[in-house]
Amino acid sequence: MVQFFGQTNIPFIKYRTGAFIFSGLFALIGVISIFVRGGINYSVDFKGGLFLHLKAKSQIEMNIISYTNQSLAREITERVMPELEKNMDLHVVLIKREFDNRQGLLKYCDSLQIQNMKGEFVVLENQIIEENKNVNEKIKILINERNPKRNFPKIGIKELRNCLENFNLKGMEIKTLGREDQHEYIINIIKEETDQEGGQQIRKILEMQFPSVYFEFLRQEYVGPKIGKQLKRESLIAVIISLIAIVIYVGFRFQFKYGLAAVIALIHDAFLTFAFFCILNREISISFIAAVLTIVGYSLNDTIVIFDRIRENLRLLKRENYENLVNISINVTLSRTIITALTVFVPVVVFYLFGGTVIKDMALALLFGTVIGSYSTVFIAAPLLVVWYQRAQKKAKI
Amino acid sequence: MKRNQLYINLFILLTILLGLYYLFPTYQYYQSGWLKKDVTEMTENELRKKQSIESKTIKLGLDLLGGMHLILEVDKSQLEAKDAQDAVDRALEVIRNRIDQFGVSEPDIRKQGDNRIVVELPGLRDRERAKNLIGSTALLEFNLVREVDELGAVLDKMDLVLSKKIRTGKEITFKDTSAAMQNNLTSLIQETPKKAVADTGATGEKDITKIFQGTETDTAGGESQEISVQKPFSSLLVQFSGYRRDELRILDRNLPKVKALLEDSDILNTIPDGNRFAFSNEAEEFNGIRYWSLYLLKSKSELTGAFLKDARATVGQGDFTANQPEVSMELDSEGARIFSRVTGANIKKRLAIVLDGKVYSAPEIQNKIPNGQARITGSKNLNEAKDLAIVLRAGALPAPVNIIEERTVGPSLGQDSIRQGVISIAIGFAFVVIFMIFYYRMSGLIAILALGLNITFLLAFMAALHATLTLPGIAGIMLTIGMAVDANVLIYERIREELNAGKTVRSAIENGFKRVFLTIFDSNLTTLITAIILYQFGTGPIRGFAVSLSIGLIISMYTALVITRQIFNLITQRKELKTLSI
Repeated sequence: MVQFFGQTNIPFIKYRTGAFIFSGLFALIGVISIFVRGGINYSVDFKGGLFLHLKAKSQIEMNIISYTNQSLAREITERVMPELEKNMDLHVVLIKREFDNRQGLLKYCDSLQIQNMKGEFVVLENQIIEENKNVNEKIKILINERNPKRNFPKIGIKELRNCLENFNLKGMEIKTLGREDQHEYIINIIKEETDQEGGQQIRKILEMQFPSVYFEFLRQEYVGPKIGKQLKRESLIAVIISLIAIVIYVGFRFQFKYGLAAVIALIHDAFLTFAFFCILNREISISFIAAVLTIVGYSLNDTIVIFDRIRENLRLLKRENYENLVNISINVTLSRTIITALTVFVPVVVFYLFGGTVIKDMALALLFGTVIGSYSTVFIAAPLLVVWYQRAQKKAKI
Repeated sequence: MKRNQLYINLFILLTILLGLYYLFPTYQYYQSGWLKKDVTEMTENELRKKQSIESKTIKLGLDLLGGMHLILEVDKSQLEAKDAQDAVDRALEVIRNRIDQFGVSEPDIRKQGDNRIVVELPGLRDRERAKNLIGSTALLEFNLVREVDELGAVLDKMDLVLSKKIRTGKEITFKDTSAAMQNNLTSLIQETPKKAVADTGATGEKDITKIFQGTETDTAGGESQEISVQKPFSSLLVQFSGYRRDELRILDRNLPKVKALLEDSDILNTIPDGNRFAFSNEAEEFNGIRYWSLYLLKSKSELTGAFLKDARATVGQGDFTANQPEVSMELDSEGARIFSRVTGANIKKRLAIVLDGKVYSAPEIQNKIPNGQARITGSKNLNEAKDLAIVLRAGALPAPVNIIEERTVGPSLGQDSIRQGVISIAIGFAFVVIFMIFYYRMSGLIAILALGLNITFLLAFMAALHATLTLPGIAGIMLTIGMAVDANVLIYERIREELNAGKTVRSAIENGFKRVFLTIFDSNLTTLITAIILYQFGTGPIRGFAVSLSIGLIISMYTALVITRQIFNLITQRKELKTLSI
């Protein structure tokens, strides 16, 4: 039997004052950081505005000239092009010119100064790739030789900022996403009265200023100010109602004060995760809310398990004093707490590392939350029961 | 007891088979590569097959598949109470009609609250086109254009009022609801002009001096233009020699100024009752100069789109419009009668075709048109003409709609998210498998088996409900996996405790399951309650999370408390085990 630890007897409840101070301090730092930064860093979801996620790619122009059949064109559009775009981070502008007779084709070839035209051709930025044999390979070689990445016009966060600043878009924020050479950017315009067409304007401005760059708009979001406010209110209502439901259910299955302690621990988790994000100056978005809800679900599960053990031990160990009883309950379930935390924590770490840019913030919140969720069960929820019990005892004595 | 066991075994077997049965269409669907194909490229056979199984698969959310999510708000402010009542339902019907004709697979169009419509278009590529298609009111009107002398008189009056205002420095209140700015004109005029402010429309503060600071002498097409305080309004107009004089032309850069002026209440008062101004739908070009046309129309329309029988995108046949895409319309019998009467009575006058307040064209009536045929020219390409025809066929929206939320995800980002999500889940799962087997040995293997079934059931459930898998939904699945593992950990730790207390294997298992039952039940149920509340009150992405979480919780209770238990029963019932690999 593999076992990390045998029967422990750690006096968790004794550490409660320290834990309360730690949590309080953490929350305080979070609140201070809000004031220092001049407010909560809400995303467009809540504040209203525009969110653009775009990727700059170098662009290559490819002419396919054919008059006989469609096979070449099809092969290029369906196989070569997607492969090139994927592997080389390119955007290929495909121009198909089809001629139904030889005369027209020859005339066009003359204008491009192509001689000895036989059938189908591919013209890549004025360089001709002959015939239909191994077009695929030749295109790849040619593009490799010319190395579009090297020829990529200098575009970076600075250039983007310079370009867009002239247009007086108030409340605009431009960020790089991921590595610098991936050329992925996020443009946020958080303003209550953003024009709904703002995204289109930015697109036009960028296309005009950087004609040789292709901007792929990966994500484009517009949230009206009304929606933002409503979302904020609705999320809050959902959270409050679920907290009330928890108090009622746990109060019914256990006792009222257990429900209250569980809810306090949940609020603790949610608030500390929020404080964590404020300290790091991360955005509070709708996916952050989803993460907090996940954390709350996880932490609740954790808390109930220990409460359940306390409930059981109250029956089995009637002689034990309450503080010891709670402490024993925590200790006997400790290996389970840690194993579960580990099996949840590791996948979340993986999600943070490999989950991609979209989910990164959410994974970060989950990362913090799984730790804080387990912590709050042991150091907040259970000790609260003891504190309240002892207070009630004192009152009874007086 | 034995008989009872048999039933349980059969039941488990049945659920597994059912799970696989429901999962199969989803497997088929995503294996087929149909997602990457355009609907138009598919053969009829493929299409039929696709549609037949589509409703039995797990839908991918817009964040994974790419597509467009819109929330529209119906602006009921202009409607009378009786029309306002069902305006949203009618608007929804019209939008549904338009989208059905546009051809997006599995659109989701539904009402939200009192005056909102949610539109979800998965896999959509051309965002602008869809937005135009959905958002345009498509109110089609035919209005007579006022003739030159009427227009001239109005212009003179406008110039007079405006110049007086500027001279006296009278405060001008704009009829703009957002921020009626008041400005003392004389003081502002004396300021040195800086640069043309073109964004008066955007900021909501429209001050008249800015409008005039930007005015430059415009000479275009030969005729020089008089700019003076005497004729402030006319000075914003351009005239090209040889063009008709019953419409006004405005340089592209002067457009915001003119628009702002036409919102001023004093200037609006100069327009005689029964008339209104309307701009052309798009800027035109003449000798490299971009300009807009402004028409004075008779307010009351002669005919509206309500009399339309059909509208089709066609290619023009006439001399000037050859090969130009256009929309040809056919009026119903009553419409044709009205049209014939109007055209007969107004020969040599111009009839403007107005769509959503913008003049698309204003041809001169050459003779009476009895057959109820009309055309809208000026579409940029055939797609635009097609969309216009769709919009006209589907009918006008009862009230304008505003897009108050838009989320568009490009297809490549969605693919990346799926790939990264799958990789992450695979790695995470691999870790859990290795850890569980390392820590609990044989029993760990059983837990993994239960976990595998858990995921199978979860996906099968989602497929059966035709639920949507979103990115937060994947997070929900992760939490479910975590809780499912937790259930097994709880059971095993209990069994270990019992074994340590010196119980026999069989009774340790028996007791372990019995004592853990309530724990798992309570913890899952509390989480389930929150998940259901989230589903009720949450929106979009959060709902996706709540769905996969709720389904997952119910299933994990089943796999942990029924299936795992049954496997242990099977192991122990044959012979009394001395030790348990746990």
